[in-house]
Amino acid sequence: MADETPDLLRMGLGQGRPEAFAALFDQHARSMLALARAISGSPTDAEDALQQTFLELFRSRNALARAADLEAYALQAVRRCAWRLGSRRKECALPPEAWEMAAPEERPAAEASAELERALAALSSEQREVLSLKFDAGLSFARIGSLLGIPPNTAASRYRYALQHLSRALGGSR
Amino acid sequence: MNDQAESELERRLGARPTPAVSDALRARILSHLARERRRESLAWASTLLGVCAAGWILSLPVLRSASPPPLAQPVEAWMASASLELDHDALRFSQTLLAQARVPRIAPPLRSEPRSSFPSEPR
Repeated sequence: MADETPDLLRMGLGQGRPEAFAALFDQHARSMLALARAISGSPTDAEDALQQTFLELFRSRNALARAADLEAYALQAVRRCAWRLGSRRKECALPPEAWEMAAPEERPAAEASAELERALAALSSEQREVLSLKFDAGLSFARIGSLLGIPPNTAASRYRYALQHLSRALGGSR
Repeated sequence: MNDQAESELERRLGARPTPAVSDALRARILSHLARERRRESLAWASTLLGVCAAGWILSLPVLRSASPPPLAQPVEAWMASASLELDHDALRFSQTLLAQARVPRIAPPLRSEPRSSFPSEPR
């Protein structure tokens, strides 16, 4: 069903057909999960947000089937859900220390990766959100702006601030 | 922050793996949706059943007024509606018997009693 035309997919979604929701999941769950994780900072909370989002999408499937841009609609839904969950659980879990689990010969790369993750975790949720939409979902600033309800220039400057913060946190050398 | 540092940082961010969606998570979410679908179907069925039951209950007084039960009517009217004819000869005969027996007219018992409890002979 993943190669179904968008019209058929929309029809299936509107009817609540399981295979249509499976196709939607296969197409967008990865970037949705990344966005939820960027907002909540916790893998567990991100998974909960993704599950809750799909349940809400199923319940409001008529609106989903009529959405002009399914990807933007799904990302917006998971964003709302992750913010809602995040406001309930304020604590932000840091990602696991990847370098501790890596083999000795992979440690430099793993350590650099863990350093980047720590720097990302230190950013604000709004900045992580923009970075996730840019890198995980591959959206343009115009689409990020419309999804977040902000002008594209604001999205771009938020992205630039995030990069500056990251650069400072990483010592500006990398 | 110079352009080179920025592009290097962008390269690192772009190379960062997107968190994978495990098969277990996919199965969990899709089965959750299937349960929700069944729950919705069940809710629809019970709503339909409730509407039917409410309609039937509401229609009861209408049915009752349209054809009241026979015992609530006078016997003659009921007999007429049921196309039964009164056997006047039998009625006269029984009235004569009653008069001869001087049986006081009392209200009939609520429950029918066995025939043997009636006096077999006039006093």
